Amino acid sequence: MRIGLIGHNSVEYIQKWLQIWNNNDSAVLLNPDMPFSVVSSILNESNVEKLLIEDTLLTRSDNLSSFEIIPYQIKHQMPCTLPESVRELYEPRYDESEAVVIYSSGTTGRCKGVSLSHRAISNNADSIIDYMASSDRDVFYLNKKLTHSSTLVGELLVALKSGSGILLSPLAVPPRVAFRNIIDHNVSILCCNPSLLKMYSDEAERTGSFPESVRTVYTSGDMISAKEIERARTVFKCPVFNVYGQTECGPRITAQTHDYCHGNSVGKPIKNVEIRIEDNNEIIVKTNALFSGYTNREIPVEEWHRTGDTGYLDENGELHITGRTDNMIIVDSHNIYPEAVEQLIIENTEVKDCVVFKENDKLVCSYKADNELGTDIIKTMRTKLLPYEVPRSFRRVNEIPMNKNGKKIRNNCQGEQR
Amino acid sequence: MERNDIKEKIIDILDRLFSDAGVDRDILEYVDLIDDLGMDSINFISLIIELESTFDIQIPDDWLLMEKFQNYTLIYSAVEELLQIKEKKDNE
Repeated sequence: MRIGLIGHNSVEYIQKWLQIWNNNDSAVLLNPDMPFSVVSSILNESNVEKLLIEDTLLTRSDNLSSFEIIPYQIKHQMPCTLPESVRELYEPRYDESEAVVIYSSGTTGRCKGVSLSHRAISNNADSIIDYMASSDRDVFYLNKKLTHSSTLVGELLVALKSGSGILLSPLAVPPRVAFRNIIDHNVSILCCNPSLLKMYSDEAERTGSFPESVRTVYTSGDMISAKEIERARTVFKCPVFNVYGQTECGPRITAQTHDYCHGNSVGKPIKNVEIRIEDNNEIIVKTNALFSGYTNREIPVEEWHRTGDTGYLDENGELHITGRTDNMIIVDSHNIYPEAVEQLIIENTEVKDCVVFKENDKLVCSYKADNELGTDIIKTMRTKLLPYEVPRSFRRVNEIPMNKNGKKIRNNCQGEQR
Repeated sequence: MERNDIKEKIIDILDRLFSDAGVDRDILEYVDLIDDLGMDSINFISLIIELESTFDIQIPDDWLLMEKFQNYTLIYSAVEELLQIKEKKDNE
């Protein structure tokens, strides 16, 4: 049976997740920042009847009256280490039954519930342990949402399997507080997305220090420049490795290591993973951690998974990511399908047409409408889209730029501003 | 620090951080950073870093919640209280 689980990162969230597994059920992981109308549609399409929900979210759960709601309380204040009593709930499994459903994108138009088996995530965690060489002497710092496959498998599951300590931290803390937590709890492995990495580099540069307990930093989730990785290596005085993955692949596919960390490559395929580059430069992957299918789509799972990412292999065999075969945009580790966002903006506001694109690492929307829509448009779209799907900036333009084939141009597409 | 100086500096920070949201500087005082401007955890961390460096203050750990900084009035109250505490300490 699939059980919905919605809550912020906490000891209790991990406890509930492990209990779901131990009851031979699978966990549908839901981002607590989602509008609850989206949560409701996801639960319906995943055939979930029972929902475990953090009690602080109950006030927003009006849309969920058709589900059996089981609230849970947060008792452990963060930062805190994962107690032994919760760690003991973890039992390694490699069977084909579904372990989790992770939503890699959240709009109702394009949401993809990725079904991952125990075999997939356990195999991937083993391959990650192989390159990280994590052990019971390490401590991981969990500072990203556990609804991300890279945090859930690449950090939490890896730490549980390798006997490493796990420090749970509130998500939104400034670098000085993160560094203090890291020092106080002797954190040795730090995983962060490029935005956080940059903030940590700024802080280390400003103060001239970085926690000495950290032996390796891994960054993933978005493209990062070689210059930014090099700056982090210099100011942290420890290895900083870029890694790459996709939820459908368990998620990890490649990782930089000491011998293969050229520029902003994403390194070489990890153990039990093979990659090929197709003629159109698309990266295809064969892995023992492949997903089992999507919850709401009849798309067959093929032996070689098409990632939709494009890239090339350099002379050392290291992979470099160059972009996408479709229009998907990645912002702060989140996959965003601009067409679905545009459709919802047009359906729910007075916008006649619009184009969504990435500019300076932020999501931006140029729109055509009779009047300037001000901040009301953001307020409206926050009830329809996931927080990261709401463009940071809306600009009214005379025309949406199109190419000669009538397709929206998403590069330099500010249009003629009104 | 005078009330107006504090206000100007806070509005400067908000203007810098949310300049791409298309909000006039004049109305930053009245917007809700979460509901109107979609502040996320990365924006929030940037806001805290800017407030701490601009006013030379340290925001206590138990105040580090987005809800406590979601509009100008709340930010002003927090900064004013921390500046008063700092002044008291400096005078001791």
